[in-house]
Amino acid sequence: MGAVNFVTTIFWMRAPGMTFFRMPVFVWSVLSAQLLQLVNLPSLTGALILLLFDLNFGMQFFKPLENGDPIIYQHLFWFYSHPAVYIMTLPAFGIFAEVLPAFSRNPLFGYRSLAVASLGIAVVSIFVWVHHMFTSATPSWMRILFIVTSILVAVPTGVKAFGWTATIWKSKLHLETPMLFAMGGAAMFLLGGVTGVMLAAVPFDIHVHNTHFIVGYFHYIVFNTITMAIFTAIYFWFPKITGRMYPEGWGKLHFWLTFISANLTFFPMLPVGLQGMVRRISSYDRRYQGWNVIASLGGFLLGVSILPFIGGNMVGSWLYGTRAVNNPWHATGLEWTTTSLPPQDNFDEIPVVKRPPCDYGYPKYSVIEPPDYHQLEH
Amino acid sequence: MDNIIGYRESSTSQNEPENNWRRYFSFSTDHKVIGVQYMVMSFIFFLVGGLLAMVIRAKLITPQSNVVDRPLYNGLFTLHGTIMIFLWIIPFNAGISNYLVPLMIGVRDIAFPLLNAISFWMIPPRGILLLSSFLLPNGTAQSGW
Repeated sequence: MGAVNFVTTIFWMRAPGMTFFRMPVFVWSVLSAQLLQLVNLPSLTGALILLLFDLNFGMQFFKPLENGDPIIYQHLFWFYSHPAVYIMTLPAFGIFAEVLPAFSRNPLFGYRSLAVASLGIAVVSIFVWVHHMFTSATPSWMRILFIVTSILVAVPTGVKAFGWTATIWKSKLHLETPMLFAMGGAAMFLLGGVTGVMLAAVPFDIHVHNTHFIVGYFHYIVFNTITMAIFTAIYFWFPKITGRMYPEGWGKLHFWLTFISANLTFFPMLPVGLQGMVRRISSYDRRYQGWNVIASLGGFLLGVSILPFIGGNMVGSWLYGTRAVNNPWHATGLEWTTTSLPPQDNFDEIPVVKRPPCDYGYPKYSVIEPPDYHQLEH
Repeated sequence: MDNIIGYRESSTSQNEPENNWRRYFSFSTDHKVIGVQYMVMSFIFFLVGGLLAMVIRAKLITPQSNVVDRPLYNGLFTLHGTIMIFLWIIPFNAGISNYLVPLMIGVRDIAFPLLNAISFWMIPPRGILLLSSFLLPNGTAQSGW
């Protein structure tokens, strides 16, 4: 339902002058993610209904002893659940593409290619689901096919990573908290993405299937990339959403604690998985203990790292936060033109869009001066 | 009056932002309120999922430990995965998209506001159902994630 809502809004209700190639990359990535949701979610719903019948009403869609086929369930499940990864990741990519240009005062490198790459990721990711099932008696012609498509996803994703790098290339970076989170998340996405491409290859995948390598890899995606992007978004749009500034010192403390402890937690899972520690087990061989102790201590530190966020930023800015101005980062984008805490109807009058997005620092358009960062600190 | 970005700046005369915290607990169809509701609720579930993860790591710190028994351990990481995906990342993305997309493309609200509110209010019951499975005699789902 949410997906229909977003797609309809983006297709039919844009402000005058807001052509498709003037939409921010975040909107592009939301559009791609929601289209993907619309195409793929029904297969999971169907699978769950069939499973419900199987378990409660004595039917036999997936029961191997009664001529059912459990592999069909795997197919239906992964046909949704692989694209689900991209439904979660695409908005994160969009957030990076909004924040990185704003703090490097550079135009977003290759805006059109980044926008189209969102759609590219969405389309290709529909055709990769069998790579979760390389060990489920998949015929070899299918394995080859799905190695190719899985590695193909790396192409639009690589376009995105290169776009971010080229955006901050040779610019003077302003390391406010949102920028720190964005750069940390984008950098750790590199490790998550590279291990992902490794896993796309059948020989490697069969070796590490069901080990902690997989756990480490997907935590690099879901925590170190997506959750970092979520914190980026919280800090970047915090003035707009709450009308207050957050305390910068607590934000930086939060970033460094999170960044260090996340790597301490999830990196040890990669080597310990390569050595053969199986996932989903509660006890293990004594020789794996070293890495596990590091991961556990990192995990506890990660739990501590949320405290500056709650205590310092949420409660602190609620009680002592200074009022935010309309556009504290001097960013482009329509959301910064309205008041902080937007009014009930968002805009007094619907704005007319005449410029491309993220056009920081173009000589032709250089109307937006960078903010005085020293003033922001206080 | 045009501001530095070249757009007309909102005047705060009639179109005041309604700054009343009670609206965040009400059945509102304003996309901004729904966005904040999504984000705050999913953050609470993020804390719950994080606590489960720390119990898992406490169990794994030594090769054989009896912090929790094995069926509960299986339930813990199953629910950790389910909560983090379906009650943290996806609702948070829905929330931030809800808040920002109409602002970014310059519309007053999302296409179907009532539908939007209904899809949010389906999530808290879902989370409560998931977490209440800890109280069942057979324990939680243990299928793994």
